[in-house]
Amino acid sequence: MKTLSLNLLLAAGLLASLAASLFLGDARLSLASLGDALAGGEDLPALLMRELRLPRALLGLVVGAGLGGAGAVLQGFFRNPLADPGVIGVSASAGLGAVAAMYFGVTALGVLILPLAAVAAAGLGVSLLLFLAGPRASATTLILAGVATGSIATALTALLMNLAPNPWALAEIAYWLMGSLQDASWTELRFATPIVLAGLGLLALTPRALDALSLGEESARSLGVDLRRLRLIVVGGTALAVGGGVAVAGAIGFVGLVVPHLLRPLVGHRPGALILPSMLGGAILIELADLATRLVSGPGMPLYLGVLTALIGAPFFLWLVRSLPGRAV
Amino acid sequence: MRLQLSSVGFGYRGRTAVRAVGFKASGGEIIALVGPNGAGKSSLLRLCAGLLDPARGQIVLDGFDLRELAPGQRARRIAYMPPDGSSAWPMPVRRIVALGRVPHLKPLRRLTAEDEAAIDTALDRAGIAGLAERPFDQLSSGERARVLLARALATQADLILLDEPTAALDPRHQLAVMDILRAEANRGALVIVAAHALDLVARYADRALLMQEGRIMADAPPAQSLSEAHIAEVFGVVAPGGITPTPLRLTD
Repeated sequence: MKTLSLNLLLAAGLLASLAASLFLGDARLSLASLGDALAGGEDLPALLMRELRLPRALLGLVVGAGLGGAGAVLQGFFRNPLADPGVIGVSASAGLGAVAAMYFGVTALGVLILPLAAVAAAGLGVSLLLFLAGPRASATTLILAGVATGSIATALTALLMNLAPNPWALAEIAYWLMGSLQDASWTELRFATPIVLAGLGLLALTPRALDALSLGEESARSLGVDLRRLRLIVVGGTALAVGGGVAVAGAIGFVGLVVPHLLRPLVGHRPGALILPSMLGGAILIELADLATRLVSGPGMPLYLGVLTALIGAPFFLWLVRSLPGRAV
Repeated sequence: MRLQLSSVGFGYRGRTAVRAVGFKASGGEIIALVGPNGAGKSSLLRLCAGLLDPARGQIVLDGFDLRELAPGQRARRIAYMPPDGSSAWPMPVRRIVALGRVPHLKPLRRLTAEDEAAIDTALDRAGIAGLAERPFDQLSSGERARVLLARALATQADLILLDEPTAALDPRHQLAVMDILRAEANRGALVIVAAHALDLVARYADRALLMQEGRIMADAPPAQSLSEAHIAEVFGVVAPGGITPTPLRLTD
């Protein structure tokens, strides 16, 4: 399949899943309510659409695109299909940053404090991973370094929860960590979107270098690729694309693992051509998974999005590890 | 195209790999780097490719110090094929060969007609036009080596550096690869190739640079540099009468 037709197909799929996410749910809304909502209508369907459904669906799109794109770039950069922001500890690092911001109460200083803390911590996480694993990491080394990075972040997050001043703060952090779009509002959308877009913009600079990197670092350098610059772009782009999403939706795992892996054969296994389809695919997956959580959630018993993606993603991860040559499990 | 090395030295963490190496070469030649494992052949190739910077001395390409060339500029003029090359992803052959055009691409632009023509030519010369759409992981090792060679040819560089391109190839593929390099040299490129197959070197190389412990012990046509005395001294093996060129020929 041509990459262009794949991208058009995915874009159409994204529109369809966006529509499903807007119109389906506890209350079925009509197309008219979307028109009313956009025109500033004040009746219940218009309000429901404008204040709940629309921001939630758009936030899902942003978060999913960030996770899918970051997964595709990380896999290309490490030349390893197991690299995923969740598996290698980047999401956990971003989570630590966000939790630290909540714990120390600095979020009151401005809406951007929390996402910036998440982005900064995600950047530290990727840097630590690169330091531990090195750029030539085998699958096993990469996973071990990712486990180490994630463990450090999780341990520090647990410490902050341990020291939480009261049960409400603890519950807030715990629920937030499970990953969900249920608190989505236009405020979250307004600050997450530019951050994730900036990250995706950086990642969009990498396709040619990632393609060249398929042949190994020396070949890539001999083809004129500046590896130091590429490393900075990957660290910065991943931190923004993942950190911006984690800041508003918590840790949603495995999207960056599953989506690029499924789409890779459709782009002829070219790491550079995989980035845009993975953004679209990540957005579709989040829309549909979020719709599923809304449909199965009972009153007062929400199923968290991060829990659902982990339930789907973890067995997939296991299967992927077993199917790799020289498998580790 | 002229390449000149003057008293080039390089070491890894205190271990000297290349000592006071100097030679001149120009387009049209095949130069073979010959010597035992660890003699410094690979390091010398990486230095010529600009992947390592000399600790001492200078490498000059057509009047420019290699370190002064921008990475993109360098990549258009110098093609380098590492030892044990592979592809991390099972891309189709044509896509891998197309990577040789990366140095020529404008930012965010697709391959031009000129790029496509260069890729077709490289596929033809390497004799793998029939494999163009096959995924890399379904190829034999001989086919993979020719794909990676075609990738290097697609750059249309005037300095082509290859680190043991014939290692692990059967006699037929060895000859095929050396014939391709001969054709590149005849077109005006300077080809520098590290090789262990001495009879191939004797047949194809214009000059053989015999290396030992980072130094060049002999720089002459193979008949002289691969003499019985040199081979005994450098490799510690006896080659009665020196190395004779391989008598093998490709069948038609």
